[in-house]
Amino acid sequence: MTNKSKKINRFIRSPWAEWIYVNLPFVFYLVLLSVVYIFNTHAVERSLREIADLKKEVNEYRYQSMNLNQELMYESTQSQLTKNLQESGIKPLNKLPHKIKVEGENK
Amino acid sequence: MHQKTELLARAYFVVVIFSLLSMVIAYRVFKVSILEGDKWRQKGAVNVKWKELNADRGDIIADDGSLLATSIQFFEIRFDATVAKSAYFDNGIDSLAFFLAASLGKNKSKYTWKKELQAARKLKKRYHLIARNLNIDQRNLLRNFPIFRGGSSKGGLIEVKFGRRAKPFRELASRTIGEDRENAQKIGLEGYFDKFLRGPVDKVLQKRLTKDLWVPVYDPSEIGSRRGDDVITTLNVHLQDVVHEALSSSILKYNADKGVVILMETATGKIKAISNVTNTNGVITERLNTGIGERTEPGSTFKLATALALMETGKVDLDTKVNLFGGGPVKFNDKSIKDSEHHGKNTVTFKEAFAVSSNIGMATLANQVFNKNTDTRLEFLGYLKQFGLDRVTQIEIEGEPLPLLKNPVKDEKTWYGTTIPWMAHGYELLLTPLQILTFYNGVANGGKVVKPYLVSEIKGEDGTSKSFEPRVLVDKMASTDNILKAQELLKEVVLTGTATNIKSDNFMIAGKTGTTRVNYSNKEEYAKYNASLYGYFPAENPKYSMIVVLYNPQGVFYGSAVAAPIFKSIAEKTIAGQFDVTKPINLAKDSIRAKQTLPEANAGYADDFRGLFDYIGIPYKNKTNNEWAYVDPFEQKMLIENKKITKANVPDVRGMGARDAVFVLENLGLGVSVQGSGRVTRMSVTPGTPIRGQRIEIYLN
Repeated sequence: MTNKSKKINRFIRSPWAEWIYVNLPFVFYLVLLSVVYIFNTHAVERSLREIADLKKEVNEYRYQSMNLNQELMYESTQSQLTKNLQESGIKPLNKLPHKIKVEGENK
Repeated sequence: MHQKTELLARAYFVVVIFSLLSMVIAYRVFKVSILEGDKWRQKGAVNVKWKELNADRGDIIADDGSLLATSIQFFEIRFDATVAKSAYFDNGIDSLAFFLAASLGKNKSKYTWKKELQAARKLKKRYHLIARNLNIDQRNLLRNFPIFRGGSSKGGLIEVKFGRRAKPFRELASRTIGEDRENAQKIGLEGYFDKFLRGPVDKVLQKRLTKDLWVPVYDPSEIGSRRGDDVITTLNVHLQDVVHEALSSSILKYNADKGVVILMETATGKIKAISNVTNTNGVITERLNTGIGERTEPGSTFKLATALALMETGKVDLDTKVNLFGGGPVKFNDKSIKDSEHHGKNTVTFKEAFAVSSNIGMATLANQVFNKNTDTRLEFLGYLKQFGLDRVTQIEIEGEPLPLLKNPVKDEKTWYGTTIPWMAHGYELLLTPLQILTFYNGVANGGKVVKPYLVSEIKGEDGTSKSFEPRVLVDKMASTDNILKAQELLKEVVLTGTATNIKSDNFMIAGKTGTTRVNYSNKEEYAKYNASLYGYFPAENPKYSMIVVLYNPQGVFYGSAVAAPIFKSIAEKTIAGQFDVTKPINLAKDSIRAKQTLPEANAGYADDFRGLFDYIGIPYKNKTNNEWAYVDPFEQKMLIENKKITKANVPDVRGMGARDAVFVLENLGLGVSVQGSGRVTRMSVTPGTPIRGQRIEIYLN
C-alpha cells in the first residue's frame, strides 16, 4: 500500500468520515437548497429587470397615446373645427335647437 | 497533580488563542470602520442608497373627463460628434442634414445643418445641441435618421428625457389651471392643490441591480412609483372654448388691453368657464389672474348693491321719484357727477333711473338716505356687509385680495362728503370681478350667496375620493321681496335700458352694464374705460351667471356696445346645450308642425313607407299589399295606395327616389341613366309606352 492510500484509508475509518457518510443525504439537501436559493435570486432579478423594461415600454406607448389624444382633443374643440372647416362652408349653428315634446312624457 | 497541570495548560492555551482571535477581530473592526471607513462607506453607497421616490404628478381634469393638465415626457436631443467612425459619418451626413432641415424647420437649411455638424465634429464636441422640447413622436422620428439610427454607441445620439406639464387645450383656462415649473412658484390650481397632485414622497432604501435599475431592498415588488391624486374641476371644455373664442376675438376687435369672462352655475356656484385674456400687440395669451386677483372700481355694475341697500331701508321703492336733471352735471359737495350716456330725462322713477344707469339718480338717493350722519353711513356699510361684499369668495386660487370698502370711522382720513354719492355709483371702492359676480349670482339665486368653486373632486389612484359640495356664504342677503325687485331692475335694463341689444329671441337675459372711467383722477392722460356687463340667464329661472369685462377698449368704450354682444353670443351658445331651457316648439301657439305640408305624390317601396310612418308616428291607412305604392295625403292620414307596374308598359316612376326608380326600370329590362338628385321629376320615355328594351333617362330634382 502506498503512503497516499494509507492516508485515505485512515480517513475513511475516522469518525469524521462516518459522520459525513451518515449525514450525506442532508448535505445533498443543503447543497440543493443553496442552488435553488441562488437560482431564485437570479430569477427575481431577471424579472425585476424585465418589469422595468416593460414599464419603460408601456410608458413610451402611454406618452405616445397621450400625445395623439391631446392633439385630437384640441382639434375637436368647436373653435378649431370652425377654423378647419371654414373653406368647406360648414359653420357652427347659431340657432337654438328645436325641441319637440312627446305627449305623456315629462322631459 | 500531573492531570491538573495538563488541564490548566490546555485551558491557558484556549484562552490565549481566543484572546488573540478577539484582538485580531477588534483590530479588523477598527481598521474597516475607522481607518478605511470612508472608503468602504463610499463603495457601499454606490450600490445601496436611500432614494426619494417621487410619485407621478396627478392630472387636472375637466367636468367631462378631458385632460386640462397632465405630465408628458419631452426630449432634448444632443449629439456626440466624436462617436461615429469617419466612413459612417461621411456617408450619412448629407441625408442627415436634409432630414433635420425638413423635420425641424426653424429656418435652418440643410447646408447650415451640414456645416454645423461638420464643425462640431472638427471641434470634437461631445454634447452638441440638436433640438429641444421634442415630444415622443418627434423623438422617434429623429431616431430613424441616418447616423442617429446608430444609437448612442455607434451614432453618438444622446437623449435627455424630462417630464413637463402639458395642457392639451393650450390657452384655454391656462392661467386658472396654472403652472408647475421648476425653480418657480406654482400658480393656479397646480399651486393650490399641489399637495394632492404631487402625491406621497417616500424615502425607500434601494439597491442597485444594473447600471440604472434600482429596486427597494425590502420589498422588490414595490418597484416603480406611485401616482398623485387627480383633481377634477368644474370647468367645461366646450363652454371654455366658446368663452375664450368670443372674448379673444372681441379683444382683438376693440384692441383692448385685456379681458375677463367668468361663467358660473347659479344654483351651485360651479365655475363652468373662466377666461383671463391679455392682448400683447395682437397676440392673445392667458397669463394674468385678472378675474380673481385684480381689484378695480366696479363703476355702474355696483349700482345693484346700492339699489338693494336703498330698498332694504324701506325708504326707496321701484316707483320712488328722482330727478336726473337731464343727465347733469349735478354738484355733490364740491364735485359734480354726470351721466355717461345721454338720456335727457328729468323726473323719473327709481326703476327707470336704474335702467338708464343714471349716476345722478343713484348718487342723489344714496346721498339723501345714507349721507346724513355717521350712523347712516355705517348703515350703508352694514348693508354691503350683509350682502357679503366685504369678504373674499375663497376661490381655490392663491392671491384673491380682500374687497376695499371705506369705513366712515376707521378710514376717517380718506372719507369725504362725496364718498357716499361716489360709492353709490361704484367708485371709491375696490372689488374683483369674481366678487361682484358672486353678489350678482346671489341676486339671481333668490338671495342665497353661494361660494364660487373650481374643483369638485379629488380622486386618488387607490379609488379614494374627496368631493366638494356647493357651500353657502350668505343664507339670505336681503328680503325676498327686495331680491325680486332687484331682479326686476336687472330685467328692466335689458327691456328698456342700456342693454336692449342683448335681448334674445329664445330666452331673456337680465343684467347690468358698466362703463367705468379708470383714470378719472389723471386729467392729463386721455380717458381710459373698462366696459363690462354682469348678469344672468335665463331671467325667469336663472341657470348661469356671467360677467364680461374688457379693459381699455379703443374707439367704443360703452359696456352696452362692447361687452354686451359678447355676453349675448356666449349666453346663446351656452343655452343651446341646455335642453330643459328651450321651449318645445309643438306646444307653442303657432306650432311649427301645423304649418308643415305633408309630402305630395311620393312613390316607392311600400314596406319603406309603412316602416317610416310607424317610426315617426304619422297615422296612415294601408290600402295595398303590393310591393310598390304611392302615398296620398288625406285629411289626418296618409293613404298608401297601389302603384301599378306591369311588364308590358313603361311604368310611371315619377315621385320615386333614384334607388327605387332604377330598381324598377332595370328589372323590366330597360337601360337607365340618371341625372340630378332628389326625386324623379321627368322621364325621357312617356309612361305607358310598350317596353322594347329601350334606353330611358330619368331626371331627378
